[in-house]
Amino acid sequence: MRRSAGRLEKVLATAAAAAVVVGLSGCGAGGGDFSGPAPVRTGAAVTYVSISESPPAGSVDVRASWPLLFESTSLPRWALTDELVLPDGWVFSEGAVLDQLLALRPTVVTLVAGLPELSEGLAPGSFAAALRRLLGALRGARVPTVLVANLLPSSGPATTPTQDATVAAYNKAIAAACAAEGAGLVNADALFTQALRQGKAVLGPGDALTALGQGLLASGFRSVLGHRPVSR
Amino acid sequence: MTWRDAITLATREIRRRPARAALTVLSVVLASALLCALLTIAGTAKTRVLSQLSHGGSLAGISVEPDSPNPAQETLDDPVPGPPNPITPAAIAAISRLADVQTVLPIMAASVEVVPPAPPPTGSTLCPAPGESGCGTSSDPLDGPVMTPLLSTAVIGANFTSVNALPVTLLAGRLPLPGSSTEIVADEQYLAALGITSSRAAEIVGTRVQLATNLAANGPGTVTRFESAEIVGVVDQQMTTGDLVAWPQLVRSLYASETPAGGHADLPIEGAVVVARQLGEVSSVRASIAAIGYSTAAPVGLILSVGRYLHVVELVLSGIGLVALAIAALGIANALFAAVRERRREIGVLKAIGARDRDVLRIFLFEAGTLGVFGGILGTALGIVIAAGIAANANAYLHSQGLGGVTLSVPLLLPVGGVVGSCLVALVAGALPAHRASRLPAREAVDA
Repeated sequence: MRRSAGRLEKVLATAAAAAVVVGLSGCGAGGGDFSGPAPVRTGAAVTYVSISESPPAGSVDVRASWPLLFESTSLPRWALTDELVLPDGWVFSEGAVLDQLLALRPTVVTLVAGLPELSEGLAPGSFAAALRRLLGALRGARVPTVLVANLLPSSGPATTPTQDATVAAYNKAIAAACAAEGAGLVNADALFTQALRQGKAVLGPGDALTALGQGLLASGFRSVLGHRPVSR
Repeated sequence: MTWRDAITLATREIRRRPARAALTVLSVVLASALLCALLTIAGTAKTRVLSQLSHGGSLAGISVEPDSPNPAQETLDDPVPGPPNPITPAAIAAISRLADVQTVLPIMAASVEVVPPAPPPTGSTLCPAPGESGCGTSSDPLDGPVMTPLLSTAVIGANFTSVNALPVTLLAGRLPLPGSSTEIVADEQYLAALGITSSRAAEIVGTRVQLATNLAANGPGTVTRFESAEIVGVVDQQMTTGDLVAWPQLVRSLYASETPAGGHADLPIEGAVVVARQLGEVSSVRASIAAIGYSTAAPVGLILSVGRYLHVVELVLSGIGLVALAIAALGIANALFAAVRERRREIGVLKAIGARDRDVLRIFLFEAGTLGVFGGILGTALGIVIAAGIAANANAYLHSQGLGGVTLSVPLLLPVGGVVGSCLVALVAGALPAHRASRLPAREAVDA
């Protein structure tokens, strides 16, 4: 009799404890679900600056512009992307541009060089000297990675030999400056020439980049970036 | 006769008639489960409905607008405000000092262009294979990917540690982690801008957007800054105009980009949420804020009115549960009457060997109490499980409709009250049979 009474007491105690546990488990409030460290964009993050003479997207949706494609496919997850647009080219306001550029504290710089200067008839030698000063200044400012794309080919009517020679001189100057200052060279001329020969529509009216051309240029920058450092 | 003897006799009787005991317990289980489930669901529904009225914020929350008060309308829940009156940090400080104010949460926002993600164009080396996951689908590369226009909107800064006080309801995903400068939540307006219905809110969770701002000109070039952020959740928010919500750090960073002084200027305050200490003090706090010079809105009248109706619903549901419990009590009484009838001889023997009336009373009351306790424990647990199941189904439906779900709230008093109440009902139901058993004369009982 005593044993069965003791057993009943145990059963009652266990059942009561179970009821309290069940009750308490249902009492949890919803609230915020905070767990783990917060992803924070720190001061050491990558700041990518693209320099071009016109908004890179052109007539293409900005989402498909090559700087954003390059950033999303080639740079760490939380990189800042600054698109610095210089309608007059950078040579003609060189010092001010440099100050503005360095104020952005870039860790990766891409430059699509030379088109406004070429249009304005700037001599290749003057352009080369200005480009070397810019690249030298960026190296002096310890910008880890600078990538420069040379002039694109034209998809329009045939150009004259003089024009071709000028473009070639510009591209030669760009290659020499990159080699001298340790910048990466994206041979956009070769990439786009090959694509045009294959019949790919990489350039649209007025030689503006199509969506495919934006992707091609972004992939060109990505392949040259390789394993170069992207942060300080 | 000792208590232990009474317990032993009672448990032996329960074990001797297990089917009858099980059926009696089952009636108590079902009754207490019904009562518990109804009360839990009613309480949860009340909380959800009132939360919906306050847009997910505190019931005592007051929305402060950057406008002057309109004296003719200030007593209304949602008045038409007077002329604009920017909210200053000094005003926020003055409101914080008011009596009966528990919390003041300023709401800030920065203008941005939101750039949803783009797939790389098909055919480029970034996306060599057509149809590859994440690649563009346009057949004409000149067209580029088919996209909706960029979204000109604002990112609202909210201190999510006080999210329970803010008019914010989480619809899908989660809130940004504390202090994150890369995580954001989108609201339903963002979904609408992308042509996505609320029921598909979860689809944008985990996507990455670029927040574009034009940096203040400090040189010959123009700079557009793109900051990437991940959408970690979707909310319904009524704080101010804007389609994205983030921690204030991110909003300050976006605003600083656009400010010539490098962000030294104060971020404009778009509004504020003030939480009064009690619901009953909302009116006096609103009057004080109006005296400082700002229009306010608070659905306190609506909340009180709806709360009264919901209380009636609670009473009706409780009544239904109590009827079920009364039926269970009748079952216990019936079972014990049967037991008394069957055990007249045993009662007579007990009395003949010296058991007193109160000893017999104790045996039957303990038997009734045991049935009540077991029924109460199992019934309460079953009731909570049923309520959880109903809540899960309700949440599935609400989420499919793009609405915030319910959070099951079980007050600690409910399981405790369920068990104790069932026990008391059983004791009351068993009182009459037990009394009759105790009054049986020994000779009559033995001769039966």
